[in-house]
Amino acid sequence: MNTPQGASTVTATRPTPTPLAIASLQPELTGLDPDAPVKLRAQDVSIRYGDRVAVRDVTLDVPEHSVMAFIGPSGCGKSTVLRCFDRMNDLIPGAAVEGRVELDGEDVYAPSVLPVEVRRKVGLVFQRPNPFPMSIYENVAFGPRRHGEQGKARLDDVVERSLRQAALWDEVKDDLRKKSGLSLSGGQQQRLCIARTLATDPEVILMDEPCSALDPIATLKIEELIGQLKVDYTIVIVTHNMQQAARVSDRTAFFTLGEDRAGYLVELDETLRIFTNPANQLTEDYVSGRFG
Amino acid sequence: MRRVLAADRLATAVLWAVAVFVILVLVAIIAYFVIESIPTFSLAFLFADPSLTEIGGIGPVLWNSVYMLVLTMLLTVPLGVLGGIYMAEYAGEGRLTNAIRFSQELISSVPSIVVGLFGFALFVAATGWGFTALGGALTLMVFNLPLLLRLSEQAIRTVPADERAASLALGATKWQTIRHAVLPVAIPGVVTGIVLTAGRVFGEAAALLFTAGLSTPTRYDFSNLNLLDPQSPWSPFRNATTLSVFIWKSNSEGLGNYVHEVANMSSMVLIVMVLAFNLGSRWLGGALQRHVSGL
Repeated sequence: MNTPQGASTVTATRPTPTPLAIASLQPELTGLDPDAPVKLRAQDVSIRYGDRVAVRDVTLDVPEHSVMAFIGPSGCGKSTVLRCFDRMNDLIPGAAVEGRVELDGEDVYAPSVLPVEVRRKVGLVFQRPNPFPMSIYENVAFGPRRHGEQGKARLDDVVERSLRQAALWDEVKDDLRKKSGLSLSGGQQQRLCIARTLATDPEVILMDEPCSALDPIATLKIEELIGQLKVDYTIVIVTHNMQQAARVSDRTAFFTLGEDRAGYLVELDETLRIFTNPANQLTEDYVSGRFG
Repeated sequence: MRRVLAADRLATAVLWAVAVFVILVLVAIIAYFVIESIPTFSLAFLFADPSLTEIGGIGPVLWNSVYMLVLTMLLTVPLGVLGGIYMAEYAGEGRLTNAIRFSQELISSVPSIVVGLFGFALFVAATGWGFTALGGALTLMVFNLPLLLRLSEQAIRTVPADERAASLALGATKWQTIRHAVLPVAIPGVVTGIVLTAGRVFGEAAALLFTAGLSTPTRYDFSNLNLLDPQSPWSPFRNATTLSVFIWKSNSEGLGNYVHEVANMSSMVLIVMVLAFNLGSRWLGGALQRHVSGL
């Protein structure tokens, strides 16, 4: 019953859409570009930790310059899938990825590809804000410096541009070298972490529950920021908060745990459809709060 | 409820008492030597050569102590810190690391006089150098390296995994991550390790008796820069009695009228030096961290 199906086959068996759902399918109403190139692709991806299969047979496409939300109950493998796109799973001993993961059509796990190169193109914002115990300036300059940038003027530029993009510049511009990143509030720290990621000039930004440690006002600021960033970046966000998924994302992927305790992708569709007229009963139950 | 509060108060009082006791002991030791030394102390004692004044001076042995400290740390710090990085970041768990840890603990628990005899056999006799500062420094390295290794490894291990993950996620390589994200956070712990090790070098006597020797010239000619000349104060190939060894010697086999005073004053100098070194290193560690964190 719970055998996972590729998202495409699920959408093929979709029931007759309601008028609201039909509206969501029209590009001019949703603002989604149906011809946008695929930025990230997972093809039959299964991820194991030692003997335990954490998540199995995930197939999904993330179009360029859009926001995709991963939702689902705890332990269903959302973060695990997220972290295979920048090879951060490599850091966990015993983690193994099967299937194909692509960035711009290139195999991210090809033997010739260095994880360092992938991570320069695919940034990651963590659940808990984790600035370095350094000045605000050094936090943002960290990535560019490691990538070989030494010119002071150019570093100054990157730091200012990134902090502006992360909507933090006005709050910190007088304390760049005076204050530690750790002295900022939780919401400011998370925006600093976003700025730090932007400074490395990535193409994709992965966010692993970026607001779960923040208060509602700080959360709202991050959500506004995501709306602005998707113009230039492709964003994938894992969230436990369904309202957040509904507010920030263009498409939503719903994961759950199968009877074999492995997570799998139940359904992937435009966000409006997932929340109003999902194809799968499990999705319906989850978004309406009946389980999970 | 009342009993719980009473227990709480009792615990607080006991812990306070223990802390006060420890501090009192420390203050008492310092006070004892300061009071004992004041009547006879003079600057001349610190720097003059032993034959000039009636009491003598500790100029040469003080110089030897500083020289020995620097030489030992030059040998120990790079190996200890790099080894600590290896153990914490690269070695992983396995037979090799277990064997290394086991030998670390083993060497740490060997009495220093035994390490001294080992040093004598290897760096004095087998090499044919005789009693030299270098032999002393190498012997001190033998029993300080395991300590520094373990302290640096611990300091590096306590850096939160978040710091590493954040750096790697920004596209930094493993070495860049260690160098720029992990070490800056670990610096205070590493500096503490270095200070502890240095304190042991400064205070060590037993391991040096048979390695750096018990004799020293009465005066050094600092313009003699020949590193191979056993008379040059800069040469590692010379006898180098340190302050600690000197204290032991004057107390156990000293003959003059002022043996007791000399031992007391030397002890005071030793304690003050160790104290100054500790405070100085703390300041240095803080300054280093401020430098790397851009604050």
